[in-house]
Amino acid sequence: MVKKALNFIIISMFFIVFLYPFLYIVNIAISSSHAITNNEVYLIPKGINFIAFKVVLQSKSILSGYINSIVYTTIGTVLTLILCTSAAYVLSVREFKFKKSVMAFFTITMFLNGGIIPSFLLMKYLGLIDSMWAVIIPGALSAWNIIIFKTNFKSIPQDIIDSAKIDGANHYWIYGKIVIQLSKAIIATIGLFTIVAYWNSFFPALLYLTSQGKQPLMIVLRKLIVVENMRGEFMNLIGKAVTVDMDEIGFARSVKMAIIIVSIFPILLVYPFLQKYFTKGALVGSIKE
Amino acid sequence: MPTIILFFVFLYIPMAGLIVGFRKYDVVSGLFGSEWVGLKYFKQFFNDPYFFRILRNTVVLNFNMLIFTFPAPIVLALFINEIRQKKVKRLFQSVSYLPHFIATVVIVGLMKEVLSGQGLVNQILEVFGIERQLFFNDVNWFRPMYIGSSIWEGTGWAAIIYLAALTGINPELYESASIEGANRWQKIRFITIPGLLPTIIILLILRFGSIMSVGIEKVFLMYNPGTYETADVITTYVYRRGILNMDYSYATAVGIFNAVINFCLLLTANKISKKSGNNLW
Repeated sequence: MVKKALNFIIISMFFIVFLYPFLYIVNIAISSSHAITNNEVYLIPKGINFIAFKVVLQSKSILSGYINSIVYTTIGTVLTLILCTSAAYVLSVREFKFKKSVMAFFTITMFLNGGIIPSFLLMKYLGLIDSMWAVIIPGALSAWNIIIFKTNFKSIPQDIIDSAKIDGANHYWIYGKIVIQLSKAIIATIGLFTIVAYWNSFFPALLYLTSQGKQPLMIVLRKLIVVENMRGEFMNLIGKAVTVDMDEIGFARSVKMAIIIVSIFPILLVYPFLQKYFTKGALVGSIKE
Repeated sequence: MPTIILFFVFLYIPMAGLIVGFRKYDVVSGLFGSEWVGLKYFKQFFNDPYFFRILRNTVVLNFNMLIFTFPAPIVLALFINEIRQKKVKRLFQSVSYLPHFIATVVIVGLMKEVLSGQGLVNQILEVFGIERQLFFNDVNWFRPMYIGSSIWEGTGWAAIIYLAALTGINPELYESASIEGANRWQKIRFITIPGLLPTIIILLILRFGSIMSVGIEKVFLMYNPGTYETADVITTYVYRRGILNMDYSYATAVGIFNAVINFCLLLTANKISKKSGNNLW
């Protein structure tokens, strides 16, 4: 008996810690503003309504942030995959002479970097400040991904490549038709992790993007849910929707949680796919740390 | 190959750009044409009134992170490992690593809601008759909040490597222990934990190697001028001095100081891990 009770307590603790925050977000987002302010929302939402979502979905800054984030994420992920797989292919070719030095060239960047300021000055010098490439390119250059791809490409049986060569295939053909085709699983894994990384990143955008219209979703979010509390753009956002029979503070909290839901929606969308590749990705990731 | 060129431009030129730390940067003469000033900015940093504060905050924050966040995934892995049904095990795992994929911005936003004046935590505190706290404006709350949220975020993810290590333990050991009449706790104590020990030691050494580096994002999102006293770390200071005040040379020098220490720690950590039979590189 005692054992069972103990198990039950541990399991419920676990779910409270990991799942309750998500339930709480949803509850606050769809409950009525008065119920929120009067602290009546704990386990089930009260006075269900979707006004907060309406406000969020009509917001121009969130919409433009969303579009920008989708653009950066898409281009960034495609670029990452192209750059890293092509570099990894070259490194996996047996006859390639400078393998060691090129590998060292990539590996060094994992341990040494210029840091914030010199990178910033470089972007300035290249005229990339306020250009989306300043946000996309640095994220795509990952020595780590190259190493993972290389290890995978090397596990492809050499016989297949040799026989393709006898049939007269050049390197581009082998890269595109054999290596890539046979490495779909690892490409999907790295691809998904890259998508999440680009979607969640905000610091490069904070450093390099200056104009309002180019900000990705995370920068917009930071402004709305982290920095501004009942002032500035946030108040403009909710101001129009607040009516006399609503409690402004409760409604503001509701809108913030609705913003969070909208922003993590894409992550929840790819989560089932991510899960398939979890263990693999986490293992390579943990060695990195 | 275009990849090499891009790596060179975006990662190697900034490294060369570190010389800015030894020069007096001015816009006209640019990165490589400015006047040499030697170690002037380093000296200035050592005499900076904030030198001690950011150094202390960086070390203390990391040290506490190490103490509190390091054991959590081990405990979680042991716990998940004890679950018999495969499906339940899966469910627990996927639930526990969900937070890892949530953006830092969202997590801090959520913390601001939960820990706000009218938020959930304060409501609970009130039930127990404890005074409401202004978590985000209190110097003493910064570190507990930072560490607590990091545990929530990272534990499930970090547990994966331990779970993987657990699958490597020979099942025969458990069987023979059962025959000898060992109970669950004894099995954990004498088989599972010793089996995990090599992994634990390696990860611990690696963590020591990064004790001077703090990711800037979360601190940046969580702090405000009122909590600089405990929250301001080296990286955030570099950001403020360099990007906001445009003291490029000075901030670079501070960055170099941090990077050199990091690199030395990493080399030391690697040496130690080599000695214990495992190679990091």
